[in-house]
Amino acid sequence: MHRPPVYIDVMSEELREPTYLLLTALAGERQHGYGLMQEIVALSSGRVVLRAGTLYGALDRLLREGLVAQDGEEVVSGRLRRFYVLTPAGLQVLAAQTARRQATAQVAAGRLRALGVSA
Amino acid sequence: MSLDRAYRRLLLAYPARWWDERGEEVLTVLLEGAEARGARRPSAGEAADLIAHGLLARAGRLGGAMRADVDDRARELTAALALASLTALSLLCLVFGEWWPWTSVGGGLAEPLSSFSGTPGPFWTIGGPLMVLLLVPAALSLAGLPRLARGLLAASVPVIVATPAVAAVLGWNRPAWWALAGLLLFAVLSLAAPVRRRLLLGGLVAGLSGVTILVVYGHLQAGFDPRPGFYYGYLLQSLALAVPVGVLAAVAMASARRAIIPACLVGSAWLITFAGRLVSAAADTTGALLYLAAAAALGLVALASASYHRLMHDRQPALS
Repeated sequence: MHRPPVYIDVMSEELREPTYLLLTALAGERQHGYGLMQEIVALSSGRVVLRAGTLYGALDRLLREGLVAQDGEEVVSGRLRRFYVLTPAGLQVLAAQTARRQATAQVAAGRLRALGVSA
Repeated sequence: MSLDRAYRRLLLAYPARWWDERGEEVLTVLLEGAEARGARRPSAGEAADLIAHGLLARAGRLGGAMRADVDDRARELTAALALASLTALSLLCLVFGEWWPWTSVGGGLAEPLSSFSGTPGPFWTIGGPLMVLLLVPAALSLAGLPRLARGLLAASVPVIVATPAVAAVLGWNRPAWWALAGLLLFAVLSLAAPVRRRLLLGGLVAGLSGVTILVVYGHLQAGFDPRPGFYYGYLLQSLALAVPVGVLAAVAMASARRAIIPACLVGSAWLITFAGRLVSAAADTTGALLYLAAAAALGLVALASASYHRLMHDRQPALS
């Protein structure tokens, strides 16, 4: 069922890491569910492993918020695969969140350097 | 049992409608993952994950039976209007009913009726601190903290319900029942969605402008009597008469702007609140029944509109 996206103030809210990784995984190319799971493991160097229930809970929320959209489907060996892409709103949120994380990381790196600790 | 069948069983935790939309797709993901790992059965972690999310989805469907019928825009508007109403009612009760130094000029309260006589601080009843608390969610929403605002609103619902019992335990006066009922209705409706700043601001400007007009009108009617007495009567009486007019005007305007559902839901909450006021303060049972009938009619309009909306949207293709 089509519903207009829910407005959320995602530009000003901190995304949790799995959601951030999910958006990052979709920033490369369109992905299907299992591809997303693998991509998230790779992006996080194995730290974050999303199970199917969690992944689809997050995907459903991002679809509702208009940050992700479905982009076709295919049936391979009798199995249904659906593909997902970032929407322009999703790209904006990812860019804003990345800029914020970079700014924080730069400050942290500077302070660590001052203490003689390499990050 | 085959892997496919085992996963299908676990996916029974999800509601049927979810299965129709997502089932085969998620089954593919589960089977591909299991084959890559060489697993012959679902892991305990997978089972717990699917059952937990399935039950959450069911809870969402059950709790959101009405929500499913109302599109997201309508929920946003409902939440914004309800939060603006909650703020306006809290402020009105606080300033013209609860603030002791102000209302005591008149020599006492006709309401609230309570067997207790204690007063918390500068307030007539325990409703004073409660109403101060109920002003915070709107402030948080305006400050760009909608999640915090929702958390506080969710917490305020049991607080409102428990207020009469807490008042009894502490030996303090409680606010009038109708005021508590109104606050509860608006707090629950405010939880319909995260509140957008711009919508809330519009609702607050409209609500507080209306309240200001009524306050000035009430004072003019009373010949600038220094007794404001929200709980007293005359101001509230004018407000009680103005509410149906205001609700009708809001519904009429909302129908032109395709916001009929939020206007009906929030409007009926105002009518129910003031029906209680008519009974408790004026013993006007007939008037109260008329208000309740109007509230029920608005509820029916909201339901019919939601059904129509769902019908129209079900005809549209799914996102793809």
